[in-house]
Amino acid sequence: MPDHSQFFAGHGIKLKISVAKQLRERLNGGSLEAWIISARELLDQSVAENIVEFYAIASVDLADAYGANVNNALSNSIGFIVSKAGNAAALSLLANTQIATSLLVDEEEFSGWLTSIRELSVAAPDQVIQVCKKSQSLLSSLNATGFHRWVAAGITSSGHDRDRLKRYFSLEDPASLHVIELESSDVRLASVEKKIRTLATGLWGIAPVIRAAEVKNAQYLPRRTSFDTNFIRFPTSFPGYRGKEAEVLFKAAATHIAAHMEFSGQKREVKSLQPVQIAIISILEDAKVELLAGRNYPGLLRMWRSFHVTNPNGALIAESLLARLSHALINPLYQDENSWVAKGRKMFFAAGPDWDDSDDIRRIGVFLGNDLGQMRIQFNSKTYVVQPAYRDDNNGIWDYREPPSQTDDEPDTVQGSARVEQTDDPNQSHQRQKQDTNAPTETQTRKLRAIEDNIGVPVCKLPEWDYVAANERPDWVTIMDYRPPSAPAKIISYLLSKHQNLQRRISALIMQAQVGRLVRLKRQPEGDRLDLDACIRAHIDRVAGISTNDAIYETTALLHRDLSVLVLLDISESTKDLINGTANSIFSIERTATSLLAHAMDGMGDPFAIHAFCSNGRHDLRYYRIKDFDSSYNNASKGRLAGMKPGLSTRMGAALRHAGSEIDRQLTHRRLVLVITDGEPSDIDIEDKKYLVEDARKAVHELGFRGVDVFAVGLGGSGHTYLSRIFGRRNFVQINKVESLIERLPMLYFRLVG
Amino acid sequence: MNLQEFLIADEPFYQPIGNEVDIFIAAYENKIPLMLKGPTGCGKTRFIEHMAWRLKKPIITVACHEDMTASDLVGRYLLDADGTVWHDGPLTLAVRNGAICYLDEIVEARQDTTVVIHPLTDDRRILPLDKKNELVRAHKDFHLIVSYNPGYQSVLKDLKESTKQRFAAIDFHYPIEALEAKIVAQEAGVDIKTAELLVKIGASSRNLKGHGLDEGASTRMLIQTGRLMKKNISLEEAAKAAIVLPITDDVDLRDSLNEIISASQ
Repeated sequence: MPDHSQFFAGHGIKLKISVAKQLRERLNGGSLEAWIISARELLDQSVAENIVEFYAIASVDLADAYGANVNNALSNSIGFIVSKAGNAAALSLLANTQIATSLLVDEEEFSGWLTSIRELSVAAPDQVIQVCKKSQSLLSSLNATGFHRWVAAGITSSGHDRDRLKRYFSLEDPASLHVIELESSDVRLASVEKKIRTLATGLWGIAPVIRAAEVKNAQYLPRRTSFDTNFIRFPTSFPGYRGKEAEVLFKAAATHIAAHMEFSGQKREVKSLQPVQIAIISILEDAKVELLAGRNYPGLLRMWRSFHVTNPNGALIAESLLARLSHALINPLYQDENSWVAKGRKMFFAAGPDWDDSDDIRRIGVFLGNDLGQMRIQFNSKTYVVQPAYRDDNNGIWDYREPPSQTDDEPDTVQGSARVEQTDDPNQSHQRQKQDTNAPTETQTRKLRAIEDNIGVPVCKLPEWDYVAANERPDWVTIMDYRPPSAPAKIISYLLSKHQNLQRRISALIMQAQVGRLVRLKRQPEGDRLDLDACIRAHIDRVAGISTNDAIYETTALLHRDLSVLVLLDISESTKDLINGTANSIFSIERTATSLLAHAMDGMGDPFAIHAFCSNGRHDLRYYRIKDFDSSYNNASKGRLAGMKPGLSTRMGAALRHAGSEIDRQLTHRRLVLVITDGEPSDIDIEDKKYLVEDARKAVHELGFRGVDVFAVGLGGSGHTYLSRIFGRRNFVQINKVESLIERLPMLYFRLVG
Repeated sequence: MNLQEFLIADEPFYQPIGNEVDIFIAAYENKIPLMLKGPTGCGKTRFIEHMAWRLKKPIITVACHEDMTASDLVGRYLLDADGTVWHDGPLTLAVRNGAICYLDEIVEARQDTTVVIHPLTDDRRILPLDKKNELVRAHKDFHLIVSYNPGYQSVLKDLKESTKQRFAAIDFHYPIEALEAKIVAQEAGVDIKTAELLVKIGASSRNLKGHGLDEGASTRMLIQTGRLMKKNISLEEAAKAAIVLPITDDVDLRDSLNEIISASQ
């Protein structure tokens, strides 16, 4: 018997007999020679002793995986890695070669992986060992390109910072997990979300809210969808599925959950069920909703069936049997001789055809679960994953009696993140309470609760009109510029998402208005066409002996928009009132309506600003700039809009004057101040109700003189008289049903500016 | 004037969806102006034609659009070799000769055009022709009908309140599935099973109204699909050509609609 290790020893290469034998069995002729040369090169490089041995073993694995001709890349890499990262790193690479070859489909992928490790050994030599050790989990999710991108992202983001490198490559850094998630499939939730949502809506009129599942830790990338009432959580991708296959998987998952929403009915109580029984009942429920869905949409059933691949002669373990049961229930053509599977099938269909009584399914599940127990088949609920991949984790059909998750944040209860709190500021006025404004008596003392203070900077002093004296009080009101508190901008996105139809309509209107509308101008003194009506008129006039008009042409011109809009929001205490029968305050409706309006104005491209005001006596007219004319409507603006909090009083005249001076500087032909208010002007240092109304009216006139239009939207029922007094009969609109502001405000804007 | 060309000779098939026939006849007998409201392709025009045929009255249809002027409706002077000659517009024609005048998509016209019909829609039933200095009193058989789709007109285009209140209205909507299948089968010439499948697809697409589509597939679209299928086009291809491609340009929506179509069979 040839001593293979002797053969190699002859070339100066020390190998164990078994390894030598395997190597010689796989390599011969040219490839063997090439291998020997490469091994000698390594030896010349003075690598550690066992490197060559491991190199040989790895070469065997390579040859097994990809054929005999692939060793050179490996040898180059080993030498390189030893020089950059040391022997231990190279050994780690070699030790994991077998895993890599089993997970990477071809030699090209394998070479790619090697290249990435080489780059890593240059940029972060300390990390090579642990990255190689994690090959199993990394390469299960990532192909060579994805792996390379992950490595590159880590190197770029961490630079030379060794701590950051360590955190990234040890998968402690959530950003690292995020990249893995992104790279693990080329089809991601974001790219299919709209498709699958409209699919669910089209099929059963369901409008689900789709969210991406959070990545909790390195070991657990969420692999199954989950739902609750009409929220669906999707993994951002399904690792291992690519291209068209992945898209079908997303669709199958979405339609499966939609089928649950349509057919599953009440959640089931867990009570005293054991995990295996829960798993089986879930399978029965899955089959039920799929079969019912398939009655109207047989194509769906075909799609779902294509994912069930089970071996009717597989091992008698719980996962396998459950998968086979699932398959048997939805595909009558699937033959399975196993008595448990057959029993499950029989019992399930006996409870049909509609499975109306949910207790039937429960009963069957309990029975089958007990059966499994008696067959001594272990069920490990910790490792169990629902199969096939499109099915959900079934949390949506069970009532576990846990507190509700944080999927439903009401924007009103979300607190702004940056709040400046003040305790005992000697300048801060008195804590007061606002009384019920329905009380008509003159002698009410109005007390108002002070809002938490921000920093207010005095900007200017404005006059106020005293209607009794018919005279101006100069420098009477101090305008204080306050920085609005900030909150996460995504609150605004959330508010907008609840009104998607309206948003779409607004976008459509924007597009209509923007497509440079050609207007036909008739009766022009010049033009490229004759205006027929005008010509006839002219001829008739001539025959009648009346002098004719020369304007008998018509022409077309582009509609030209030239206006600025300043939205002025009243955020006084009364806007905190809740609207009858709902949990929404007037202010929250104002805020949602303003978000939609801002969306509209931003789309139209007209310069616009959003400011808010409230007052605390004449020395403190608080003016908040949410968005200015010269700034863009970005996340910062949205954050300020989200963070606004109502409080204090409504000194409208001063606010109007200041807004007027703001918009004065705009050079557009038309300038409009759009006021949104819910109450009569009032303030804590004024007793005479008429005073501030008259002052506001004067302010509107002053603005009018300067060519600034003012239009008011009055919320709630009582404002008719004072609104018409302040703004004029035709320059306000009363909205009694406050919630309709959300729809009407953007539409009003289009009407005003169209 | 001979309005022979405006008479409808053959019975247009119409499947009633409610009591619209009775209401129409009652309105006609009282000459109450009528407004037909409903989405496109659900049978408004077919209904009018059917009723005109039943009553044996000529019907003059005007498709309204934004550039339409009052003269387009009532008439104008035209210049010819002899000088100026007055030509009646379609509305005046109907008014003089007792025809039904059907203004389709009246919201498209500008409001200063539509006010022309006001004197015809109250008790006076007169049409003043200013330029001719003539006051035309409506023939006793004259009847005014308008139609519009309230759903997707922009907020900038709406009928004035003063116009709306002069009309009685009939609401049109897509018929219930059984009836719609009957209509599709009849009009497209397909068997009832195919018609039911098409109607099911239509119903799914209507779920998407407001979720990307302004309007789901109309009955008319389903009929067109059926007609294509009669010429040996497969359901998928026919539905794609007659429903999916015309109704939206959005790639994701088209994909979803195609999925729904293949899921339905």
